[in-house]
Amino acid sequence: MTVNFDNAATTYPKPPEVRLAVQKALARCGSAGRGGHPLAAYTSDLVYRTRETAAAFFGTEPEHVVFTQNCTHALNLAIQGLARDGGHFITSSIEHNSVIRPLYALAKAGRIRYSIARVSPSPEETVRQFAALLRPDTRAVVCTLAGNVTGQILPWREIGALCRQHGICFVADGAQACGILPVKLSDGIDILCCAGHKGLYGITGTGMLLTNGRYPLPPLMQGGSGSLSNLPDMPGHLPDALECGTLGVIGIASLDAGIRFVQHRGMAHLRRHEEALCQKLIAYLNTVEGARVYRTPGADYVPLVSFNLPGIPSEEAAARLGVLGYCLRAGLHCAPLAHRHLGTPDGTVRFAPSAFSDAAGVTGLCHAIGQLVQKEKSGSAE
Amino acid sequence: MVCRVVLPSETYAHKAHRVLAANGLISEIIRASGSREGCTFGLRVVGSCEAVSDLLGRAGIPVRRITSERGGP
Repeated sequence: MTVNFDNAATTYPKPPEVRLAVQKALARCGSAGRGGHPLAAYTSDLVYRTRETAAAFFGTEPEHVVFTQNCTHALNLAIQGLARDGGHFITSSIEHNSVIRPLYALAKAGRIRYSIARVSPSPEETVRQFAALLRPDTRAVVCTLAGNVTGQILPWREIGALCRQHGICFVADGAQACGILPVKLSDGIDILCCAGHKGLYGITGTGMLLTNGRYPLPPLMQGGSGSLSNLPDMPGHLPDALECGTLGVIGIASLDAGIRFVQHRGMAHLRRHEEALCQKLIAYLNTVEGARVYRTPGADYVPLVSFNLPGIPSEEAAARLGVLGYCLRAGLHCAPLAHRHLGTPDGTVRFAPSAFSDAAGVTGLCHAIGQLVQKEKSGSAE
Repeated sequence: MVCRVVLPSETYAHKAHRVLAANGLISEIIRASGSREGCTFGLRVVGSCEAVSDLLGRAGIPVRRITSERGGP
């Protein structure tokens, strides 16, 4: 028995329609955008259809959908692209390394400066923290829409409005939010970076950068684009400017099916279902003496729960739950800054359900946690 | 009348194909090889170049070249 509660890393299992789309693409796809023969034409049509699906879902044009390897790739395209002229960037205190490391590397190389806005449980206070850091040379705010450690949702529409008001670019990391929150580029987001393999239910190796086209980005890599190939420069138009080399059409096919799955289920329904499972776990953890749940009244969360058990380090707790068949992620979740903010330098255990998680699975997990805590208590008493 | 349109990329060729279809114009996506810039994509459209140019312009689709040719697709 394996019960996956590590869906914030990658959703598993994938919907049947996604698995079918992958099988079909493997059987029928060639390369997209490189030829005019029937195999290429079929594949290119699938790729364009996925651009249309994603564009409609997030509110942009199909040509403004750039396929990437993952969310980190999209964030690097955005951050390194915007940093070409230097300047000052603002990020938040609950970021993943996919945002912090590119900013840190650029600052270390002397190319940019950045400031960190402290996230508060109060959305108004969080926006004030961002506003207080604005400088005349601030080029962009780069922050998550929902943190990957506690799932806290940032007031993205208000941050978007702040950026618009000051004429700066808003780059949003939608890794934990896309597919669960109704995120649109019209919320004031200029560049949205998302993972395809999490809440959008595509396979690993998929991600997207979606833009309103207001802030042109230079490519991170150069190579074949299937267009304007006589020119030594990469084409200036999207998506070709940022997509070089052969596209991962199998993943793209999975992403199309995954987004359609989310549309069909409905994001509000998915969030309600998953949050109900989170509440079930929280209710149980509240009965465990010494257990700590990292949620603060007043803050809003995507459906995931970070917690610690009494006397059991997070990695050990996850390892022991893993032996019992429950898959949860422990440690720093590639977000040491967020853990410093939370006051959990040794990490937490993270519970992240998906559309396919159910109450029976959570009941089993609670039972397993109970066993673990009991055993620990007995061990300590000996 | 047949109109041949050269577009910057295959993505734009697909978008243009959709725009024209929504306006009742039949088109097919073609490789536009041999152009000065190298390989790219375009459309052969059953319709006048004026109408095609107008529709694509209104949809914000950049056109690299547009020429009319005799005969059907």
